[in-house]
This record gives sequence, structure tokens and C-alpha cells, in this order.
Amino acid sequence: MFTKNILKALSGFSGILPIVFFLLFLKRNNEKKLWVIFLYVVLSFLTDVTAGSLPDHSQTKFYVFSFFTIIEYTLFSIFLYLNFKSKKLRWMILAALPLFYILAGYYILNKDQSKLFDAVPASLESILMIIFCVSFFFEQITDVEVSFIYSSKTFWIIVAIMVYSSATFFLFVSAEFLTQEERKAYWFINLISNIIKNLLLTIAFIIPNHKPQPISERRYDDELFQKPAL
Amino acid sequence: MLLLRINDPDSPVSLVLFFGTVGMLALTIGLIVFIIFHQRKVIRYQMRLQRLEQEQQKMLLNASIRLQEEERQRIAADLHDDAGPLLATARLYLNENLVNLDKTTQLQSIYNAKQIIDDTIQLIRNISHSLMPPTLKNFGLESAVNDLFQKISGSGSMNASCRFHDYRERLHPDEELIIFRVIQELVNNILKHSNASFIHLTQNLGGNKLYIRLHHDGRGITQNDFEKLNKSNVGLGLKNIQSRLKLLQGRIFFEKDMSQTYYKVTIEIPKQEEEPAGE
Repeated sequence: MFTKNILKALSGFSGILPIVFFLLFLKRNNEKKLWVIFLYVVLSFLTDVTAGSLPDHSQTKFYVFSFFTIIEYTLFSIFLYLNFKSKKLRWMILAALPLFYILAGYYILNKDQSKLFDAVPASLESILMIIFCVSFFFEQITDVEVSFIYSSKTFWIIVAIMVYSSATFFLFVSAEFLTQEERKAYWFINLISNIIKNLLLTIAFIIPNHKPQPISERRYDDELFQKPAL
Repeated sequence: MLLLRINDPDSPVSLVLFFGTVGMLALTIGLIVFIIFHQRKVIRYQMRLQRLEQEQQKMLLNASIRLQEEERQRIAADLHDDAGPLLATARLYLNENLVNLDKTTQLQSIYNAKQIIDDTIQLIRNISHSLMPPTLKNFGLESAVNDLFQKISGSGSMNASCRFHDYRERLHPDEELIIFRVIQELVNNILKHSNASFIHLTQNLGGNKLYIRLHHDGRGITQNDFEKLNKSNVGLGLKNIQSRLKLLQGRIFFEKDMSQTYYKVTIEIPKQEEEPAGE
């Protein structure tokens, strides 16, 4: 019980890390797509704090979590939309958005709220995010750039989303069939994933901004001569 | 099936959950690691290719610089060894003592000096012509190549002929000069190394490209040999050809005729679009 409480506290407060580092390195993080993730991190932290202060069997808690799932999916979709170069993939994200809303809305309104967890929308979100993240990586490996993939902030954010989605996928799928006690027992998976996600997002906000340069435009002289001081 | 098992109250949900989560995480991490390594590999390969290309360009540039230096040395030697002594001799004839000599000797000295100066003028004209053939400048590539081939034929060492099938519109003078230099280099190589008894040049237009083909019956090289020589430190002339053609985005092919009797060298040059006249 003690370990679980520690884990819960760590997971909740790990959300502060990316917020702090985003603001500390605001100059290098001042990009539209990073602001989207910052907004997500802030909302995630606020949701954790709000949900943590509500009693376990509260209906409000169910609505807070359900609403957050929709917001989370929307923000991740916006972030991915801003990063995809392929029009086809952008359309895929746009097309999936209303479908997700309809399904999540239907599920939230018709759900047996005694379970207090929106398992179907959360699982659907996870699987869609995994698909989009894999598509993003596929797009990246076909697009040859000089800079290594892990030197970009986007890479770390996508890794965070992907690791979180894949680690919690089975938990969310099985949550539909678990009792509240059983779900509580396995909830540490979500807490650990959340900590890892926040750490990865922190790395993304710390690393310097690196604009990829096409291989053909790279000048080898750059490695030999310093730029004149202006 | 998996969901059915989870639905069953007796099923080991914890195991499914555990293996599912671990499996998904392993897949994700595996995918990320694969992407990182794959991308590194691709980038390294691309960079290696670029480096090779740069080395090739460096070699071409070196060849071109060396050739330029050789040309300068040749001109310097011509001026120093031929024009220098001639002018010095002329000066001897026209020294200060000339006024003290008798009229007949004076006239003889002036006549001799004049002859030497005429020779020097001719020599300098020859040097100048070798730098920029006047026929090429005034009458174009076709005439300049005809001229070159006539001179070769005239020497009696080889039967040389050329035919331009479609050269009604002259190319830009700079392009003509580059093509002429390439032909000169190729002909020079054939004269020096092939031991051929004839050499024939044909020009044609195909689509938006100009083709020039040289046939000869001596010892020649194939595309493979050309590429090998291009990558090695020898074959300065060939590298020079390559760098000149690169300026025109042209290509060159060395091959042996199907009959195995002749060697063919084909130059392909895309015709440049005319630049719009300035206002």
C-alpha cells in the first residue's frame, strides 16, 4: 500500500517535470507543436490532481477521466497532424478524429458508470496512437535527413506517446472486464507508464532545437570553418 | 479469443495482462531501436556516397588544375625557348652599333631582323591559335573540327574524316569551345595511344540532345576502363574530358563496336535552353 501511494505520488508529480523544463527552456521550445504538448502536460497534471482529490466511487471522477481521454486524443492528434509530411496520413488523422468522438461519446453516455473507467475510448485511443506513431516512424525512415532521428524533439515526444500507449493498451482493454479492486491492483502499470512518459517528454523539452538539413544541402566546409562573428 | 479468456472468471487475467504489456513494450522498444539503427545506417551510407562523389570531384578538379598548369608550362616554354631567342637575335641585329656600320650592312641587318620578327609573329600566332582556334571563334564547331581533321589527314599519318549531319544552329561559343577541346583531347589520345589507321567523326541531333561519335580502328578503351581510369590517379586527359562535359551536363560512352572491329566514343550533350534576352 505504501509503495503504491509513493508510486501514485511520483506519477502525479512527474507531470511537473516537463512543465518546469518547458518553461525553463521556453526559447528553444517556442514552437506551435510543442505548445500543444505543453498544454497536454498541464491538463494531464491538473486531471491527476483533480482525480486524486475526488473519492474513488465518484461519478465526477468518471467524467473527468472520460473528458480527459478525449482531450488527450485531440491534442496528440493535433501534434501528429503538425508533424506528418504526407497528406494521406494527415487525412487519416482528420478522418479518425470524428470517428473517435462519436465512439467515445456513445460509450460515455451509454456506459455502466459503476465501472468508473472509460476502457473502450482509452483502448481505442491507445491503438490509434500506436498506429499513427508507427506511421510517423515509417515516414521518418523513408525521408532521409542528415540529422539523426533522436536529435529531434518530435522523436522523443512520439516515443513518449508510443511507449505510454503500448504499455497501457492491455491494461485499458482488460479494465473493461476487471473489478474495481483488480483494476486498482494493476493500476501501477499506468502509473509507471505515466512516469516514463513524463521523463521522455522532459528529455524532449531539454534537448536543443535541431532543424534537420537535407543531405544534399549539407556543406562539409561547415565542419572546417567557423562562421564569422556578426 | 484473448478477450474471451479474459472474460472467463477463471482465466489468468494477470498473466494475460503481464505478457500483453511486456510484449507490447518489447515490440515498441524493438521498433524504436530498429528505426534508430536503420536510420543511422542509411545516413552513413548516404554520407559515404556523398564523400565518394566529393573525392571524385576533387580528383577532377586536381586533374583540371594540373592540365592548366601543364598548358601554362607549355606556353611558357614556347615563349622562352622559341620567341625569346628569336627576339634576342633580332635585338642583336638592331644594336647601337648599327648606326656606325656601312649602309649595305645596315640594310642587311634590318632585313634579317625583319625576317626574325616575322617568324616571331608567326610563332606567337601559332601559340595563340592553339589557345583559341580562330576558325572555331569565327566559323563555329563544324569548321573547326573539319580544319582539325584536315590537318591530321594532311599529315599523312592517319585517314581522318568528319561529317556534321545536323548543325544548322551554332551552339553558344563557350559550349562550342568545350566540345572542341573534348574532341581535341579524344583525337589526341587516339593519335598517341591507339595506333589506328582511320578516325571518323559524325554529328547528329536526337531529340533535344547533340550527339558526336568518333570511330577508330585502333586500340581503344571501354566504359569500364574509362571508369577505372577516372577513379585512379592516371588518365589526366580523361578526367579533363569528364570535368569539361560535366559543365555541359553531358555524358560520354566508350564502347567496342558489335563487329569487334572498331571502338566508338559517343558524346551526348543536352541542348541548353536559350536564355531570354535582357530588357
